[in-house]
Amino acid sequence: MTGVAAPVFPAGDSIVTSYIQSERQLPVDDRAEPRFDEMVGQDRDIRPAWAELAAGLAEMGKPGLRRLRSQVERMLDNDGVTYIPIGGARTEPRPAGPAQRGDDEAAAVDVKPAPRERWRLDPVPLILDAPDWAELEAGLLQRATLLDLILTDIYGPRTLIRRGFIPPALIFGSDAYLRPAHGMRIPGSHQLFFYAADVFRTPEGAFTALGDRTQAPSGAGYAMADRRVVTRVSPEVFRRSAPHGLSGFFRTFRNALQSVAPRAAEDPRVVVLSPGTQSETAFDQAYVASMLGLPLVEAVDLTVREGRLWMRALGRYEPVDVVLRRVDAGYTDPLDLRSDSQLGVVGLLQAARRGSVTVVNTIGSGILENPGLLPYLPVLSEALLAEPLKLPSVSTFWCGEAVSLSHVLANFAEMVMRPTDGTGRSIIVGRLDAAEVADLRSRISAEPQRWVGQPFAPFSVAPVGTPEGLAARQVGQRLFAVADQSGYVAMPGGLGRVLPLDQQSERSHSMSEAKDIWVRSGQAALAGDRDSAPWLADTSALTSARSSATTSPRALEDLFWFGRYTERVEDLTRLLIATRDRIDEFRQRGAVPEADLVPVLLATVTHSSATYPGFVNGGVGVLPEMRSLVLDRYRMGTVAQSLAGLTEAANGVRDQLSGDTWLVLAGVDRALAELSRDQYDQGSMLQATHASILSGTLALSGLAAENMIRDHGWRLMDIGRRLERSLQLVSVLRWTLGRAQSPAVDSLLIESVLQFAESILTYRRRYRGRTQIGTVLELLLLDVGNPRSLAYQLQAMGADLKALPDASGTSLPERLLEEQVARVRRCNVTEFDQAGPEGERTDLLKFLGDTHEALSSLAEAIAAQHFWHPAKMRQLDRPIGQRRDRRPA
Amino acid sequence: MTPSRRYNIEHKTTYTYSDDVGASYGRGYLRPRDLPWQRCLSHRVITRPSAADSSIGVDVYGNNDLYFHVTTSHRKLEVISQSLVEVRRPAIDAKAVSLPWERARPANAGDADAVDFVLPSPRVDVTDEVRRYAEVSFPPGRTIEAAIMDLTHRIFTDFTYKSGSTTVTTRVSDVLTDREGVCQDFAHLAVACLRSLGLAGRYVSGYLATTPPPGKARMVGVDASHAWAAIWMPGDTWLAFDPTNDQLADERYATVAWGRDYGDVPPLRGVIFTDAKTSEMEVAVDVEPLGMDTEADAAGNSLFDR
Repeated sequence: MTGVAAPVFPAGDSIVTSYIQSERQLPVDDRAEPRFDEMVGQDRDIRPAWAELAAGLAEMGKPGLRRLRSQVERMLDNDGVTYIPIGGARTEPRPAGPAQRGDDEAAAVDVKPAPRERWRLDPVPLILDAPDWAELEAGLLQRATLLDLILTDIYGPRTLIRRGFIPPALIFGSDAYLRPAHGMRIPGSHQLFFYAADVFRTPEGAFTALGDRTQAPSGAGYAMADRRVVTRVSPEVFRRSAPHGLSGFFRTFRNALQSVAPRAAEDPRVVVLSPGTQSETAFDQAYVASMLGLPLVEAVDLTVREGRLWMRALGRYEPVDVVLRRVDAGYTDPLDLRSDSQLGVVGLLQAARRGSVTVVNTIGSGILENPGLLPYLPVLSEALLAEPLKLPSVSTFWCGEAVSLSHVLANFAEMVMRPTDGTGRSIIVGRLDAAEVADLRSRISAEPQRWVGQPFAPFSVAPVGTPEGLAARQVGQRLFAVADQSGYVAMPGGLGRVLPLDQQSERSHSMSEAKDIWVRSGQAALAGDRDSAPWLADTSALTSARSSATTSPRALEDLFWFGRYTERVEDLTRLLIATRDRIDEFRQRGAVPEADLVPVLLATVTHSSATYPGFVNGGVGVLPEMRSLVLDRYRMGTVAQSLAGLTEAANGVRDQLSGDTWLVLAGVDRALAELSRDQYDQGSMLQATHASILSGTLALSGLAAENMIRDHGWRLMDIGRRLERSLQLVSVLRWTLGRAQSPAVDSLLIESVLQFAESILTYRRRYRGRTQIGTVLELLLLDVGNPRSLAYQLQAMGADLKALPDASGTSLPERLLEEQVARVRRCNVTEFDQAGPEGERTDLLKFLGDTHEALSSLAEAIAAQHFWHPAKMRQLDRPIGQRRDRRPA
Repeated sequence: MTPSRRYNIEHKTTYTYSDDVGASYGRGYLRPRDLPWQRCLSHRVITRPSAADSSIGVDVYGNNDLYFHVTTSHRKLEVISQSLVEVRRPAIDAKAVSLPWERARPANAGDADAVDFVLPSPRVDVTDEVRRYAEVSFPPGRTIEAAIMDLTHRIFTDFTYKSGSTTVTTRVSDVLTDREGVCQDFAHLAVACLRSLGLAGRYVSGYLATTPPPGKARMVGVDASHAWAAIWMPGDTWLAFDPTNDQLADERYATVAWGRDYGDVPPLRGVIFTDAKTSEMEVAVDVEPLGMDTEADAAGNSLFDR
């Protein structure tokens, strides 16, 4: 088929024809009101811009649609596209100290990872044709321009307030109006840097703004991630209606960020400031950072000194010129804004006031989100731009005006009530019971200036893929624009949103599905011929311009723990496999004396993973405990818990890891989920899961070895991995070979240890099958050629430490490591099989005990030198440890 | 022209900690404002250890806000503010004070900026109890002056001054219930009363020169920073009154800063980084009168023209 835009329809039934037929009767909410259908016109014809898509949908049918949905889900998993529902989000800082990172010491600490959910995306895009987009774009840019002028005035001369264009109470009474930001201006002609509008279509088909997003708009990253997924899964037929690409917008965005830098710095440093991996839209933040090629930082990575902003980087400070802020403005500086904030940088506002750093969106920009401003925009547009407002707002009544208040109360049942501060949820009055209505009325009467009322209006509908075919669902859109030097530039696309059936407020906290928005160019059918498919441009994210210099201590620590957790997962899995093999073997052989090795191995599992009481006290069923050791993510020391720690660490450095990392983790997660579903597994599924986990960790090793630049972050990750491997090896040796058993059991234990340490083939080849403690220890402790030996780990860590920029040869970690290398070299393993009267191999135990202790000291020394944990932040004027305080008399 | 007075003001705050403090960031409102009736002739702030970075800016209300950053590790931090200030009795707009108080509602007078001081603020919540308390002093049509004098006097008589009875987090409603507090509480209460009636009230932070008892020498360092209130009047002037001492602010009152409440203009606040388990704070304020300033009078009015 050529790219001619002709509606092609198979005759008879298809999911598209049933959509057209059913759509009119399908109640979307409890009111059967007319709605605008994005795909189907008045006469039940497919709108031209949708023709190719509709044809494609008809062709694939229900099975095709189902397949598409599951492909989308898989892609989202593989890309690690997630969302943290607001109820589960924490505002405290990330766990920072090793004690909170699942260190051996901290087995009692209960680490419950936040419920991260997979992003939900409808495979059917929302299409905007060229005339619609032209109208929408013009309206969007005009709104941005208008709001920019208003923002500039509010924090400047306040002429609009003084002349009565904006009621003063609307601004002064809002928590988003930040007085300390008064008088601050960023370079360039715009004060509103990044703008988003939530838009919907009325039953008449008119585009209408539901609200403006100016605080720190989220969603541009999701829009890009959505596009990448939809691009990859869409059948060929979809591609004939190829939309405008999105990556050009990110290039503009990056240039715009550089252009607002304070000085004429040649290469301004820009960072993305995130509240942390627990924030609701952490994925979006990280994705935007990687699209822009900018480091993703948290407050702890930044500091203000000498009146300007710096980023901590391995032993020195790098100046920061521009901050793209994803932390709400009120939280950005505990000195001048919310003093209880743990997400801000002390002195940031001062630095911004001095103009030594530019923060965008500007601190205080959230005031424009106040829906109370909406009724005043038409007049402001005429006054400031001498133009009518092109993209009108949804009809809004600010209750601070007596007339509006009485209108709202008189038509209360039809209203959606929204607080002016945007912090609370919208309330659909028609869905409240009598008592709730009365309560709301009295709250509004008490503080009318804090509320607006908006008559309930249904959104337009568009086809959404469901297991039963296509269904009509209300859809909204978030559109974006960024301030370029010349003016505002819109993203040709956006974040579409399918409203949950019972919701119409744009700030729904229940997770709804996203939709990719396709803006078709004027020559849609020819898009495929134009500059060899805009699709390609979208699939490769801009190459990140990161360098080792931009790795903060926090990121280094995340990478270190990424290495440790990866190894911990691998080692425990290997030990579980070796143990399981013996259990299987002796189940078949029955009660023979050698079976005594099984309890030794089981106890080793418990000791090495610190999952007490486990097998140590006996009394637990082997299979349930083995399952729990893999699956229970809330139990310290399990595979699942280490995986959660690993994922958390990876999220903190998402901008530094290969995207394939998420593919690997998704595979492991799927294996765990499958095992978890199989309640009656007798061990075969567990075995398969072990194999999947192991292959996942091997893949991560491969990524680390082959796909990562050897920068400081990689070094720390490698150190983490080597350190953990050493510790695990020492621990396994301690609990398997520390006590002499019968020669037959010892010999089997040695084999299991060799299997655990992936050295059995070498051993057999080298020592021709004769198992001896001495030769085993030689291979596992001393052989620098064996990548699983202790000596090898020490050597590798030595090389890593030397490669770090602050290596002096005499730093504490380097000295500690030197000592261990020497100690290992000097030790005489041939004497280690000597057992005392109690059966203990005293010399071996002492050596292993000392080594464990030395490795722990090494870990501490590395943390002290390379990671940075700020001292506790306190308020100067609140005395610590007592209640009394002096103050004005 | 009323005579002016000069004061040498030293405001010393000392923090001591049980452990090292790596860094202290501070924000302070310590420099007296320049006003038609007041001039800050000299001002300096010293910190020990000395600050690596410091500056004075101007905030949204025109106050001078100090910023400092001490980077030297310390267990004791001293912040010493020294000001030489010259104050006259503020001229009172006789026409404005004799207007009925209802005319002073910014909403009626069409003054947008003053609306900022009508709305509730973080430390001043306007409750029905506050309104009931305020209404007694504001019968319809009463002049602004009469109403303010009455409110000032009532707070002075109804409430007991009790040092240490409240903390910086005490709410206006607690003060109303307990009937005791310190100057900050009475200033907050007065401001709340004004706002409950749609009037604009602001919180004023500064110093009050005290006279030693007859026959006693003036004691150094026993003074304190002080707080009082002010009401907006048509013509865009403010009338400042002190419910703690039952009087209008005069040449004994050195104004440092004003805001919606204490939180906008604390003498000092900040953020420190420390693992210290305990800390102590000590404040010593000394307002030393330098006597009548005849020199300035001789120089004419130009000093005070603004």
